[in-house]
Amino acid sequence: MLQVSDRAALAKSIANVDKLLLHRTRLGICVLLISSGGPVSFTELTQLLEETDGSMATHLRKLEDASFITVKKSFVNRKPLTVFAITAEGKQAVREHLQLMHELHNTVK
Amino acid sequence: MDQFQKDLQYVRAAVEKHEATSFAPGIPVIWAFICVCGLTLQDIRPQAVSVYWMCAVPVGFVLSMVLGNMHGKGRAAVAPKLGAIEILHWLSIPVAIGLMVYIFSMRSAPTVMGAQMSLLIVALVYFLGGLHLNRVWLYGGLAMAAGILLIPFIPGFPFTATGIAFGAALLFGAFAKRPVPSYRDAASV
Repeated sequence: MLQVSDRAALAKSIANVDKLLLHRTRLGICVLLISSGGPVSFTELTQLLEETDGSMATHLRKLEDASFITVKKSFVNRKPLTVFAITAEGKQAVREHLQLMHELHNTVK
Repeated sequence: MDQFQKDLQYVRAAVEKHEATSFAPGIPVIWAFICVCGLTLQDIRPQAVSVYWMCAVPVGFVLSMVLGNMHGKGRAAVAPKLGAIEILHWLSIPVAIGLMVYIFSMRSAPTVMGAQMSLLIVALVYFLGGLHLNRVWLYGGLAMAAGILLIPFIPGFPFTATGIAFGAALLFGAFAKRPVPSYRDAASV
């Protein structure tokens, strides 16, 4: 059973969780962009995370609006190509999110 | 929290899939072929080995760069900085071996050779550290490699020369204008 102080700390931690990164697809997008070290295409993100195009586009737009990722559009062999890259803000947000989730996990344990 | 664990597994699976496709599969094939041929040649016709490696390594590098670039473009994941790191990382091997051949060709006394070999290993480690850890060490590695070339001209004091080269490299690294973050900072969480 959690003590009062633990419950208060837990409540505070839950309030600080980044809701944007709570969704596994958005977390996956950010982690993939960080681990790749370079830009990743829309198609590759969709395949790796096993999402539909529409759903992926929605998640990417939310991350872009939050300035966690940048987008670059170009043409390759007359075909449109959209690539995404993580921003410093995005990296920091992921770092903090994972740290917070780790602390929450320890508190609940 | 169970859901979070499942989410982490989902993310981990995606990252592992990505890493499995992050290199051009032709590259290890090229180098496997080159090395098998080269080492076989060492057994059956050792006099041709030098010429073989001098031809095969540049060809292998060019092919690897072409394949790597094509693979990156195909995945829309061309990252010039990371590509440069890869090239410099693998180029350090033929450069180190080239310096080793130079050392042996000088027919130095064993103690001098020992100092040079030690310096070569340290130079390589510092160079790779400069690529992957902190750029400050890069210049140290290069300075120590230059020291290998100078040791034969100080025949009486090889270990002293080693020490001077090593110390100079460390001081150079310490007084570099600014510590440049390693390239890996951009890819680590």
